[in-house]
Amino acid sequence: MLDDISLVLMPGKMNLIIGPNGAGKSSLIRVLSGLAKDYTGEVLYGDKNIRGMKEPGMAVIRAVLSQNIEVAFPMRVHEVVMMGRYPHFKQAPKKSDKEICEETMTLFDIAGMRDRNYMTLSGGEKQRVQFARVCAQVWGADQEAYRFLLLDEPLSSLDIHYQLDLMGRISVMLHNKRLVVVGVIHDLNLAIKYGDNITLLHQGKILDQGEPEKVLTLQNIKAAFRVEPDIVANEKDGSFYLRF
Amino acid sequence: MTARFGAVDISNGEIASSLIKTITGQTDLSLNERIFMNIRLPRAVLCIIEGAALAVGGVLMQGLFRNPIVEPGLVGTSSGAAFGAALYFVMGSVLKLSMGQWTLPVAACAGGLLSTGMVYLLAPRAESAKNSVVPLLLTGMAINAVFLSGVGFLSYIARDPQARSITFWSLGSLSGATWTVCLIVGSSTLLCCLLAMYFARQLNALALGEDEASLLGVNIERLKISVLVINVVMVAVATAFSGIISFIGLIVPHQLRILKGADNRSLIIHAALLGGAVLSIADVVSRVLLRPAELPIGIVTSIIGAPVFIYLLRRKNYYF
Repeated sequence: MLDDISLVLMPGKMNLIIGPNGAGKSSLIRVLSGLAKDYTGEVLYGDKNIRGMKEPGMAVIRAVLSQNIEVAFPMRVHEVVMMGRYPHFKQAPKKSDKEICEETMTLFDIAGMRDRNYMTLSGGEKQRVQFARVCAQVWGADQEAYRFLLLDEPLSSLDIHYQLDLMGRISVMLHNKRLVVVGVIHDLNLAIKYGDNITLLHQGKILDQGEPEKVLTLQNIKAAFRVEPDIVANEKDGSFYLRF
Repeated sequence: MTARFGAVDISNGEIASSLIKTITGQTDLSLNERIFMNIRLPRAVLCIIEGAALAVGGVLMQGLFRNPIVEPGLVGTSSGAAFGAALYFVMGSVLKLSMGQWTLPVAACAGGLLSTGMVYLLAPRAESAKNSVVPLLLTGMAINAVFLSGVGFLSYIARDPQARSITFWSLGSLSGATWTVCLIVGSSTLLCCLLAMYFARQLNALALGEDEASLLGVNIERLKISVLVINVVMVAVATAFSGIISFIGLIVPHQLRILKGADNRSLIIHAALLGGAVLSIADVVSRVLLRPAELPIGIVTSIIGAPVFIYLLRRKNYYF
């Protein structure tokens, strides 16, 4: 599925993975998160190879937001968010855990629905709850260790307001110089707007990687996505966008 | 309290005096007082223990299979335990296996583990939790059929008293309650409940899905096997002494989820209490309805439980 992948993802930068359906983006996330174990090569978090690491150890330093999360039972929103802190306490949550959950719920604008039944929420609201949970899991990465946040198509069920809102909030989180964020997104214009380091995957290989201007060229887009957009200069911020 | 009613009514005064006499070591108990101490009280206690075991079994099963409409009976545990027990009734003397009082529960446990293991391994795994219920239940039905026909066969080749034992047993009855039985079932249930509490938080995480729980640091395989074994042992031991009692494991956890949410730690505790209470009520009904005869308690729980189950299925319910 994936072939000859070589990536360096730096903290404090918005690393985005783009590519057509079937290119291997989700597989790459699974490898990077340690869920998929049958690969040759190595994945290093900092300087530690994750192959030997056990689940509890990994859960403390990295969180993954998966595409379709099905919660089997009705739970309160705050209970779902608290699950993000499970790797951090043994039997009962500490005060710091509760505070962290409060912070992430406020960050993703769901504090008002903390007592609502998760199953009655809309797709976008559920997504924000999952965001809060996942961020709670890797909160507090500033001190010593690196923390890793992997997002697999996190914007899919969100309306345009929350797509921009969430990308904005993640950008703010990136001020933390020890947090490594990797996200898979489909919207190429959002990738241009927010991405610092873009990896374009095509048929399991890396077609190109680097800054948006370097990667999102007409030639690359045509090769990977089989469409030909106009590349339009954006006078407001000096960058560009794609017109389809 | 439930010990008051039955074929012979015992007054509160007699209950009090029998307790006092037993505690102070006197042996001159009246007939009613003896009935209370040796039959009613152990039976009442066993009721509570059994109810707790079945209800907590339901909680664990639902958490494990990530679905609210499974209970130990639907996934093969009860029929497997029944088969194990029937094997003991019919073949026990022939095969010369004996561990005294412990043989029956061990046989039931073995049967239950076998049948539930088969359901667990053979059921086709679907991608989502929702879609995986139907194949699971169907596999459970198939395994139930296999083991119950095994029980049927054993009844067929059995001599009359054994056959009658098996029949009575598959309908569920708490009339065999003695203090020894209480001790056996009580200790196994207590142990299993304590172990279950340890795994409760991990089961909570499992509600998000296997991948998600794994990403949260849960060792999925270990969790599944541990909870399965705890569950089967607890339910099989309980079933060994009471026969098959259905629906407690389904309805008690379901109601509690609606009332108290899905945190397994609180669910386990409340299920133990509520399950004990519900079964006690059913037991009173079974003793009083046809007195002086006794209705097998499995019939009572099924008659009440099945319509409730159907009602729950039909409600506009966000599980399905």
